[in-house]
Amino acid sequence: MFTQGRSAIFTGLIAFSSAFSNLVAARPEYALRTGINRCTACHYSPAGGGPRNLEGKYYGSAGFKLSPFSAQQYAGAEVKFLYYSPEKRSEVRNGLAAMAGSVWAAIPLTENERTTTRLVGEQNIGGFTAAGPRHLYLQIADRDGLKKSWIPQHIQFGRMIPPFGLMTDEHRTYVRLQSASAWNQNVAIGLLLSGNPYDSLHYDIGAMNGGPLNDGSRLSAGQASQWAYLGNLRFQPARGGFLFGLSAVHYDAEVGVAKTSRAAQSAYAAFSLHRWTGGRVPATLLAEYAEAVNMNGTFTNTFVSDVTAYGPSVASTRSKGILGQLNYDLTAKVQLQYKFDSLILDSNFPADAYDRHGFGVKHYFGPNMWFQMRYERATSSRPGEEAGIGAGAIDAFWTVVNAAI
Amino acid sequence: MKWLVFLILSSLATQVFAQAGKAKAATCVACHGEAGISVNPLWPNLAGQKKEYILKQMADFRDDRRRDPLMSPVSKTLSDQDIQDLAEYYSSLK
Repeated sequence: MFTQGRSAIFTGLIAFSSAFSNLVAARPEYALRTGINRCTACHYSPAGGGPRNLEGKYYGSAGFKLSPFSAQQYAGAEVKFLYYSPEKRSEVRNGLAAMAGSVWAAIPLTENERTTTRLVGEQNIGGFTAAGPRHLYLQIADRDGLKKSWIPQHIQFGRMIPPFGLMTDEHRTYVRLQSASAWNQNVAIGLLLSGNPYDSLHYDIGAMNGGPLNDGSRLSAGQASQWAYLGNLRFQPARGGFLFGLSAVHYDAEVGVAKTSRAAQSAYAAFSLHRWTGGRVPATLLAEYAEAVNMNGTFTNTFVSDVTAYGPSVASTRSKGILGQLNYDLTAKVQLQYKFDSLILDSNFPADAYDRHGFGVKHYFGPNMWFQMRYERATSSRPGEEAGIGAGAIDAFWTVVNAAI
Repeated sequence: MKWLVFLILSSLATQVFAQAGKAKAATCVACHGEAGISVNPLWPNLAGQKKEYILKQMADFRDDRRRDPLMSPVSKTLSDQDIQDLAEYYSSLK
């Protein structure tokens, strides 16, 4: 456990574990297996992730019986614990800690034959991310959960996690790091419109204001915020057993900062071997390719060892990241996982790359409770990182325990 | 004698369909339980349900005569044979 004497470790973990700290997120393997191309089947937000409706709670219970307290759709809570053990024992980031915790509520305000208006709020109560609202938005939702129209079926305004790339609870990836899209405090408050013109096609478009600056620091009161414009398109034919998506986010240039504006793009896909083999191979393959420019404030933090020269120099370059993951369902409650991710910090210098292979298991042991263990083998071809100095190049074992009500 | 052969063949066919249905039920178990008994009140038990009822409901979901955000997309992935196999399987469970 953390003590006062280990405050440096705690500080390091805070900086390092942003990539861990997201709470519930959608799981595309389930969407693929069932053919459901609407995140609102389980989540309140059409972007996926965040508070779940009652169906989502039941589905996430993995066949275990929910308690009467959990079996309602108006409130919930979630907590995550992390144990992180790097192979390099002198690494300051190690130990056991409460990673994230939140409480949430979804309050219906008005309801008529066509729409429901609700207020959805989720408050961080501790962990590595500072306490504060994670979600707080007003949502107008079409009550027909199957409508097909270009007219948005969900309109929401407020603070939210916007859609970008593969929305999963797999956050420890380079593509999330480089695009700052795992914890998504980069785009904070705005308007999101979502709809399904066809069952197989889903879109999100949004305009949001606020976020961290290019150097990774947070906006403070009085500072000018940035506007960001984002779009996400996902194609998932009901009988195909695959999905393919494109996401993009573009920021206005920072006021008073002589830098080009920030942007990130993602192309992502998922393939259900379960569907393709009639259930004989119960596995899902996830893949994502992301590029980002001027989005790399995190690189200057703890990811690379050289935070005085190399880190800042790559913060304004174009980075490229790849994610590949194979999830194999050994049983209904035990999943084997293999993950590969790769990152080139500066596309002008592709030899300076980071690669990481991870092997692990995820086990559901109660209603909305699971633990995940993984060993990750990391390598870096960047000079100076061979010894595993930077956080991106350290072999590590970690465990996450998640519980939700 | 012909009737006996017919009965044996019918029984075998039912078992074959039921076995095929069990393999295809991998998606269903997440909500309806591994043995067709749902632990949650939102979703019905399917074990021992009448075959004709399951056939009709799944076809209705698939063909948009009945609509549900979860069942409609799931049933869109099913062929007539899939529905037949699943109905045989769940109706055979006790």
